[in-house]
Amino acid sequence: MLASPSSSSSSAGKKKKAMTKPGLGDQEETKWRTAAQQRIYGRRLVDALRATAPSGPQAVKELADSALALTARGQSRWSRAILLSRRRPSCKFLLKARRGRMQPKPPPPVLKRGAPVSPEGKKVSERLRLLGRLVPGCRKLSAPSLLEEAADYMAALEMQVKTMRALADALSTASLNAAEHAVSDELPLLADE
Amino acid sequence: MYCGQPDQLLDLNWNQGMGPSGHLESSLSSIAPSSFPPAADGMAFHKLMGGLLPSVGNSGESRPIGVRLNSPNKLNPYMPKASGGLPLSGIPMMPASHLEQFSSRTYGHLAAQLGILDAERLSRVSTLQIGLPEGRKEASAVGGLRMDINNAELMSGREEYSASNPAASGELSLGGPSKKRKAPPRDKVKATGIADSAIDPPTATVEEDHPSAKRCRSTEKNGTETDAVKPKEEQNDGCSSNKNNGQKKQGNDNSSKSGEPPKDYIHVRARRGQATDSHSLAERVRREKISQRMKLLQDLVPGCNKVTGKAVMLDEIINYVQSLQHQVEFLSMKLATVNPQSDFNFETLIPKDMNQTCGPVPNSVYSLETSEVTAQYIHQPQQGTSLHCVLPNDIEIQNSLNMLEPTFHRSARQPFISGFDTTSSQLGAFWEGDLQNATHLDIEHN
Repeated sequence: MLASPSSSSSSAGKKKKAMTKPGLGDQEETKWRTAAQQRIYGRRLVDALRATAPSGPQAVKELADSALALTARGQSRWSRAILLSRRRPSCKFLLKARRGRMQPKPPPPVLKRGAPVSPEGKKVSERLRLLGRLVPGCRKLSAPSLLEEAADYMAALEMQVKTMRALADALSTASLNAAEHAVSDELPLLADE
Repeated sequence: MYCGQPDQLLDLNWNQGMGPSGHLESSLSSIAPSSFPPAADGMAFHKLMGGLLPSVGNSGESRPIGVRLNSPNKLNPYMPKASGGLPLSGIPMMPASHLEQFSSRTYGHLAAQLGILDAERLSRVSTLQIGLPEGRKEASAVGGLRMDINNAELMSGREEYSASNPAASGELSLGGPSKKRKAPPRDKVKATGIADSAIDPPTATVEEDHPSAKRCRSTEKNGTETDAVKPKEEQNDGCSSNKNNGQKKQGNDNSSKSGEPPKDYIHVRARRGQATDSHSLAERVRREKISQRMKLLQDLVPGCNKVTGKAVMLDEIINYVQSLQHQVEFLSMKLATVNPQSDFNFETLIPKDMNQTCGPVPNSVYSLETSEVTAQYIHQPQQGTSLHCVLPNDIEIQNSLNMLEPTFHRSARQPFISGFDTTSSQLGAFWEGDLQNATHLDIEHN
């Protein structure tokens, strides 16, 4: 529905073969840092907030993450993981099935061979595992793709933080302004009573 | 006559230009098997010469070489002299000048191949056939012939022959200083492997040299690993445990060598020519990919330009991602409290500049509010994710929830309230408890 500037039209079900591979760094950075993306995301978030009165901070966070994942248009693994887990929490099997189809390469952790024999390699592999736990949907992912996902996720998070902060500030000022007006309007009323 | 004619022939051949690598490869490949069987000593040389000469390329100085090499008379005496060291002295050696001229011409890889044309080499090869127990010297000669691309081999051979032929050691630096640099560390590794493999049935290894030689040449031309293939064949042979051990050592050594540089991914690239077989090649590719991605991430994470090493870098990345996630949580909490009324739009809320999220927004607030307290309340949340920001949120929550806003504003803005003394007292009575809370919080906060 929204025209994302740098991403082609792809639904969550499509395979992303070579979309993010070429021009790895530049694409991702510009993808998330454009003002257009921020606006898109912000609008989406605001609409969501308006539509559903969030019950608490967790709900807001989930909303925010879903909106972010939507803005990613399902091109990255973490966005797909978020969307699929949020929409139908009961359909985890669906998630697995989709993963099986969508994965262009099988990601078994090949970290045992070769590098992690040394103690430094073990630290590295530990940290990679930790990172995999942080990024949604990337627990069992090979190192290069994990790093790719992490880069995308980081850029997206940055954008999210920026947008949410601006939104929160604007809302707070707006509410204050509204409250001001409310006060000024109320007082005469109260006085009358 | 025989000496004279080949000049013309050679000239013709050579003037045709440098043959493509394949030409040389085929000639060499045809030479290699024939050179080794002891029966074909003289033939070997002829073939060597015949095969190699046409592809040597333009070189005025090659004439004497061709002449000398082609003359079987001179070569034959060297056949039997296998055991007695290197019969190099007998060969009408190419004067150093010729070799230098060879090297001076930037034939690149062909220059390396030209080294094989060196009479010394050929003589060594011939002696090898007869006197295998020469050990390393012959082995390295064989290795040099086999891996003619590999200048390291040449250099190693040179170094070992230095005693007998001091002239040659410095001359055939055909590949340039870079190759020489590679030679010393690999020399020891390679020499053992070569020696072991050479002593074992050379025919089998030689058979596989053809594709390896071709591949090696092409790979060297591409600037990739040069000796990647040879140990592979050694492995494929499985001729002796020694060889396998040598190769494994090489493999381990190489993998460990190439394992270390990528750890320090910022400074060092994986060394050229380190991968020995398909496994380590694939690993190397994989490691390069990983280091590429790490560089990407390094650009994303602020302030990680000086960090070196995968582990520390990953640490930073993890911390950064965690902090970003915490920020999102905090902001979502804030948004939950300042939840919108339905009558606003995103565009109206957000100023045109999305980039300046932290800076100018409070300024607009400051212009509206005269009190410091409110300014504080609004300013603090923007300063970061520290927990003390939660306090103004609580205050806001209380205010909004308890409809404290009038009192809040009243307590905050004294001049404003002063104009409404009568109403304020009434309101004060009405909102007594809440007002106290608000003022209490104000005092606390101040």
